[in-house]
Amino acid sequence: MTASGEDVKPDTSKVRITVEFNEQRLSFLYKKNKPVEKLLILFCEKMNLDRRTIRFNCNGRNAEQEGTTAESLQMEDDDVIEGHIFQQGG
Amino acid sequence: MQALATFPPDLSVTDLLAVKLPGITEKLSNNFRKTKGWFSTDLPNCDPLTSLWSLKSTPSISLLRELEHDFPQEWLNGAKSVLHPFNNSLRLPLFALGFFRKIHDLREGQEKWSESVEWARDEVPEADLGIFDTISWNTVHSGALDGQLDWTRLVADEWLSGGIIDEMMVDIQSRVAAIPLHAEITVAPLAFQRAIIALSINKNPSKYTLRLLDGYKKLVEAGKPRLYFPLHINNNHWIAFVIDFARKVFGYGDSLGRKKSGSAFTPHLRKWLDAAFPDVKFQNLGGALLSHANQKDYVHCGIYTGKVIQMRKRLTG
Repeated sequence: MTASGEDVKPDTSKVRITVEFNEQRLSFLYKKNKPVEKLLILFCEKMNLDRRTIRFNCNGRNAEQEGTTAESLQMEDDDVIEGHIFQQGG
Repeated sequence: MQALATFPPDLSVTDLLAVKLPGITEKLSNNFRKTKGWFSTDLPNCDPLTSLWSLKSTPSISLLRELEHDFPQEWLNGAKSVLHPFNNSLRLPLFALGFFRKIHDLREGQEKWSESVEWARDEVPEADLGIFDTISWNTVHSGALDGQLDWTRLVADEWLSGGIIDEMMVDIQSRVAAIPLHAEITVAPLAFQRAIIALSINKNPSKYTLRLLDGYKKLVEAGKPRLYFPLHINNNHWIAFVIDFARKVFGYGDSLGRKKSGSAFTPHLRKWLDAAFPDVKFQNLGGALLSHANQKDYVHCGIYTGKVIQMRKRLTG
């Protein structure tokens, strides 16, 4: 529903997303309005990575916020969700 | 308890600390010491929420990790439920494993926030503890790398994470931008280091990586010749790095006083510099370039890194 009261249907079209960590890559055709978290979990499983030690972002924006979708990340075809290892230091 | 059914990350710190969570199961019958004993091919036969929240304890984190590891195979073998650890006749739904994991997360959140509240109470007597009623315990913001729980590192004498370092850099950059005297300075977040490495090791760097580095090149060309940024090295240490495009030098300041700390990063940096500024020959002045204080422990390098960049220490090389 918009501010003017009109119903707006969610964008259910698909977008081609690549998830990348170091040089490991997987591409998915994924609905724009679905949370990307499922992709990230799947990517980590396929690549045998510990999901809790990897942080993902897309175009400089956090891709891990609850409910984040390709639509909310304003992703276009061939955009990349980049993973990097959780960093800490002393 | 029902309010916690979805484990809301925006629960306030005060509310989180008030929740009574199940403990950790220390004594389990033989049947439950091996992961195989936890799974059943029976269908779940109890109300999940009531049964799960009424548990007095949950498996230890090490046992839970084993259960999570074995789950896919057990599921393929026909597992449909998890045995109730304290009632042989009850079968919990398989998402009980996710519930156990969330309980561990909440428990960790309680421990860390509890330390932070204690610290604020003891060390900052004038602090308004009411703030803990209003801040959420682990909301993840779109601009940050990690959830709010990460902030407890600041008062718990823990290593600083990339999320906190990034927040520091964003804050310093906003202050720098407001001072005309510092018009020649740019402070970059961790994305800069990542982009430099991604450009160096990836045959096809992402559009974002190329756009980001191009943006910093344009800033230099637009009259901002000094670029400061944090560098994460050896997977355990933060140092402050600077490129001075006017003097054609780069180097760093390491609060542990080491002189070769940035050596793994500089070949990656050179690739970008050679490609983006082909007519300039940059000199690596290593750890001699940025003056800095030395840390007296093995915890606070992140604070020193932020401070060196915040003070924009004069280049000593």
